[in-house]
Amino acid sequence: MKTIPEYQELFKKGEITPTGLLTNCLKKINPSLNAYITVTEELARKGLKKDSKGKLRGIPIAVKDNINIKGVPTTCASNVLKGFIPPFSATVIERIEKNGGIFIGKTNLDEFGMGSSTERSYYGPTKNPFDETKVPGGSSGGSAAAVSSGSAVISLGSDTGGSVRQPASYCGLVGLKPTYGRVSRYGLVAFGSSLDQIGIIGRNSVDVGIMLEVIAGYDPKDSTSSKKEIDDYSDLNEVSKNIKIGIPEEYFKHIDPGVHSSVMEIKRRIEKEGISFKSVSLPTTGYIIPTYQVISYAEASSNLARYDGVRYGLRKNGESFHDTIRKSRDAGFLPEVKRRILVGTFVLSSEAIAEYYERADLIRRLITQEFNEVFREVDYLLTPATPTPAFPIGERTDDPIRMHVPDRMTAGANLAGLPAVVAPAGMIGNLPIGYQIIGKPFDEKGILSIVRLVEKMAPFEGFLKEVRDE
Amino acid sequence: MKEVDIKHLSKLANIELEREEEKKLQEDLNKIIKHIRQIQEVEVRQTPNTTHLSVEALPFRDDKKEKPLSVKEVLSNTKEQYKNHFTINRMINEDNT
Repeated sequence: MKTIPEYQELFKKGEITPTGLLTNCLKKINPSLNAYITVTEELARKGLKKDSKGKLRGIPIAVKDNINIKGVPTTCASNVLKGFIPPFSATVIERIEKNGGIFIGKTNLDEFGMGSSTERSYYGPTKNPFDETKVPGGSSGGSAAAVSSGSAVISLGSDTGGSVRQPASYCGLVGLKPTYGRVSRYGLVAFGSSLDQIGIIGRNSVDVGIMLEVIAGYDPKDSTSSKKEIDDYSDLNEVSKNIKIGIPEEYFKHIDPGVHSSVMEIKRRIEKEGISFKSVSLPTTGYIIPTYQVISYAEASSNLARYDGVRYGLRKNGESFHDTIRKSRDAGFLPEVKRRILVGTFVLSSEAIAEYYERADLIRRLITQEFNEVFREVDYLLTPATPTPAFPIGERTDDPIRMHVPDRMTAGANLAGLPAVVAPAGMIGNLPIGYQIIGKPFDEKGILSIVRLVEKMAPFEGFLKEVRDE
Repeated sequence: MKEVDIKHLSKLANIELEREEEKKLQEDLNKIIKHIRQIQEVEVRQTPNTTHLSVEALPFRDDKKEKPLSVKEVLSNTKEQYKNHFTINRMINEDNT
């Protein structure tokens, strides 16, 4: 399992070539996993011809199919975007191109990022590379399955309530959701604009750090992107012994005993390095899911109003203008997206807004304040990434509430805009599970450095190697 | 708790629903709204609104003219166009014009 700097070294020595690496990755695309909606071999080969010297030179990258690459279809796994070819690229894509990265394909997702299993896709479900009867997590399940099965070295996803971190946990990978504002959202198709961040799924913290260094930083095209200087994320070797890590008790309730013991094992290993831990409490944790649902559904109902069949995508002509819009939207969206649009419309309606949306907005502030208070006592938080390992395909598709259960661990960081990373903690049976480190705003370097520390102590290569290595 | 009026919501959301689908979604919506009602339990009288997420003031971009997408690019994703415009159904009844 090589890191990106190791690949660069091998390219320099001439031991492998970028073309050879791309060919290997293409060979590893397993149609049965259904990780890709579009494979962009031609674009990748064209990318190799450019004489680039960047940090990602010759590295095959998979991109979630809700991030625009100019000239390549963006589907968001929805029929409503049928035939849509974006005339512009996302800022992250332009930055990767400048650094020599090549794009191997667009990956599957739950339609518009709305789901936790990558089953709710117009293009069919993606399967977990560790066990094809299980989900890979979602909504960036295709991006996780692609990296986990070795068809891409690293991938981009998007994380609105845990959509990068939860699949990373289910597929034995490192998944980062940066601070809100750290990475430009320009060219990412909007779901919940105050929660969405483009994230990274990689095999290890080093690769994720390098990718972050490439894509992070101010972008005038995203008014919420920060002008704060970016750190040197490719150097993750310093972790001060003086830091304190909090264990929020609420995150350890109602979880699989195997998840509990694996995360405690990570704690013991970090403790051995002389770092201290402290129990802390985040009392509003139990309300994270309903709060997240209200805010994200409300924002989705507004964002998805743009799909009207008039300017792009699917059009079903009706007898009148409104008839055309209504018919196009009915034919274009799958049931989960319709549910969320309808609930979002309800919580914003005049009779319900005070009881639901405005109240959720206050609880969001309360959740943020609780994180802020805890971060006066400790520097980081250690939690499980998910309450259980990957669940069986089909188990939760008809249950709109149960599908949200894994979000309990991850959506808090979205509501409060905090950076969080998930990394492998161990295996339960044949399935990997992860731990999560949440940090203070803009401390991506800190959270990745803790993951690096754990990786150096005991890399989980044994069980991951079989699935991923070339 | 009052049942949600799915007909009204689908009209607001501009989604036409088949009868069977409407029945199923009505059940789902009632379940979801019952679930999200838990947020009523939280004491928020002392809590201020969420006004922003960023820890710093949002930066302004330079007030410079940027190159926009060309008309050709903007129209590139639809066949339903006429002389550099998108075409849609007539909205004003001929009798009323």
